[in-house]
Amino acid sequence: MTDREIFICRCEEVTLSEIEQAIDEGFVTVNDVKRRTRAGMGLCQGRTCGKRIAQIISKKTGIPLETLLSGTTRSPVRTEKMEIFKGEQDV
Amino acid sequence: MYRIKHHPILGDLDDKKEDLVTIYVDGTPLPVRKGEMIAAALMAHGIRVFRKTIKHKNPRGIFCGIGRCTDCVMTVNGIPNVRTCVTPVEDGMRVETQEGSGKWGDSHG
Amino acid sequence: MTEYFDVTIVGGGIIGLSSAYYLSKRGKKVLILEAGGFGHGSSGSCDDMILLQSKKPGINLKLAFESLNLYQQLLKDWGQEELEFLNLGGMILIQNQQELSIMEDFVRQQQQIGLDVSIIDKKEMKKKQPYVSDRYIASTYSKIDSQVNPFSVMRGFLSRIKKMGGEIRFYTPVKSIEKQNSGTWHIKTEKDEDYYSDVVVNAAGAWAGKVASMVGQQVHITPKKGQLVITEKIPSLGETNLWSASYMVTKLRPDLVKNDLSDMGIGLGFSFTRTTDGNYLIGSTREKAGFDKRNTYEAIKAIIKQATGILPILNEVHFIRTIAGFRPASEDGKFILGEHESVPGFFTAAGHEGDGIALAPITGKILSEIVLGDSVDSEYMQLSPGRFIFGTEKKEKVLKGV
Repeated sequence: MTDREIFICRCEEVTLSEIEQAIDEGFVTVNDVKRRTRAGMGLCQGRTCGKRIAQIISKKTGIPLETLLSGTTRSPVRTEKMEIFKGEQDV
Repeated sequence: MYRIKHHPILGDLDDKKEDLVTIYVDGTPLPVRKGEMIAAALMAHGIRVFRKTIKHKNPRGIFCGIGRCTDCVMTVNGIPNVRTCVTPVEDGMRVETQEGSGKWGDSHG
Repeated sequence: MTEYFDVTIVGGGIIGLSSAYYLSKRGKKVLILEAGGFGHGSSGSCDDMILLQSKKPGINLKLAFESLNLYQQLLKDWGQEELEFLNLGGMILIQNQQELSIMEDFVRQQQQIGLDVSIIDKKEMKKKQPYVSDRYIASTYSKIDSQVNPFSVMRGFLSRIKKMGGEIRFYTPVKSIEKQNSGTWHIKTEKDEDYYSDVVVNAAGAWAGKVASMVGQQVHITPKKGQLVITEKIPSLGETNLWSASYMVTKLRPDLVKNDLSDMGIGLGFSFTRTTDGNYLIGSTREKAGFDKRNTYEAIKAIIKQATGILPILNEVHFIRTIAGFRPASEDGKFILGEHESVPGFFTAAGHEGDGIALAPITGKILSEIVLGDSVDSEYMQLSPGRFIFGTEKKEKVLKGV
């Protein structure tokens, strides 16, 4: 295993080289890399890898890190079993 | 194996019978301590591979240990994707090494 | 910066990309101008279905058939790994006798035009869907319903468009579109870049009205917000994807449900589809909320409660994300495809509401044929952007007593 084959997104098993390839293809935001590679689409929803991917994009493209928007966050804040709505009143 | 039995501050741990429950790991009964997390119980018995990943079938176990990274998920009582590091053991619990997304257990068939 | 292209396509969603793909195949040099990033609009926040059995016999069903054939062609050309095409079939779950008789009638109509669909009884339904609640008494079943991964389709189109010489600019909203005396379009972007082309295609989905207004045209497309819930990857819960008849009934027989406020006005319908990766997409809503893309607690709760009612095992499953997108809804339920009669060289391909993924290939293919001046089926005239204008003029004439 070369160091470029390390996993950046552990949940979706996306490697550094796959992310760099996506950047080479012109996907240069966290959201775009996600839509290209699935990095950040897994169980933890990019909570582990999101910042790392922003760093990789910034390093490779020269886009300042602070101008790179983080990926879109949407509910749930943390994955939950769907039973959490059980007690809620029926619609 | 990976259990601290003698701690300079917390003292000694003695395996009194009333502190133990039994869980079944891939069918094998294991004595584990009441109230501890599944992941801790497995570590204590030297079990370090909890699942195989979906894409590359690589072995995974504890990574973050705080319920965040989801690396330690296993199939518990027939339900896949249970975070073992934040799920306490229960007597009679069936814990299975998860291959990929796992499969639904009989009780849910 | 000045550049010339044969065709400029405004909108880089699945419709714009499909149009660019089929135009490139016909030798046209295309440019796509996309206001956001890859899949930022509706094409990246929808489900993944090529659903035929929900459609009434008519042009939408006919085109969905043809689109499915084109997807099968793409599958041959690109391979499964790239397209992520699945043919799981579909079932519409039936809850009571009233739904059953309406669905029997509907299925009969579809069978008459040759759609492979039937009604199956409870026993057969449970065999295919062991986890579905016992309150369902029957179901429809069709093997033909299929799906693709929208991101894979868009990636596949994009890489081939580039290979054929086409280009795409992300994060590049269009500021103005003007016809020069020479007859060439001048497209100015918000980045103050200038592009020139003979043909402009408006494939801006829910935003198509805004783009059309740049050339003084109206297209009657309004955004309808659709919210979805995504589950973790789980082992399969059944043979096919699922829908419920109750939503079909509200569409087929609105007279029966006039006073039914159970969906709180969010257009709640049940859809349950498995992705190639093993996540399930659970939908969905159709809400009038303007361009507000936020997920709402009420809608997510309604979607999840509905889903756990139909498949109680879902109580044990984690949901990992919620998404929302704008379904570009045209006034009469048919999408808009064709040249604007009073603005030669300006075409619209938009307004597919919930069928953008299903209808993308056929839309792009027909558009390419219209742009190249091929003779196309006269049936497509009913999709022409002019149909609304005629309607209005007619209405005015009637009102004025002309």
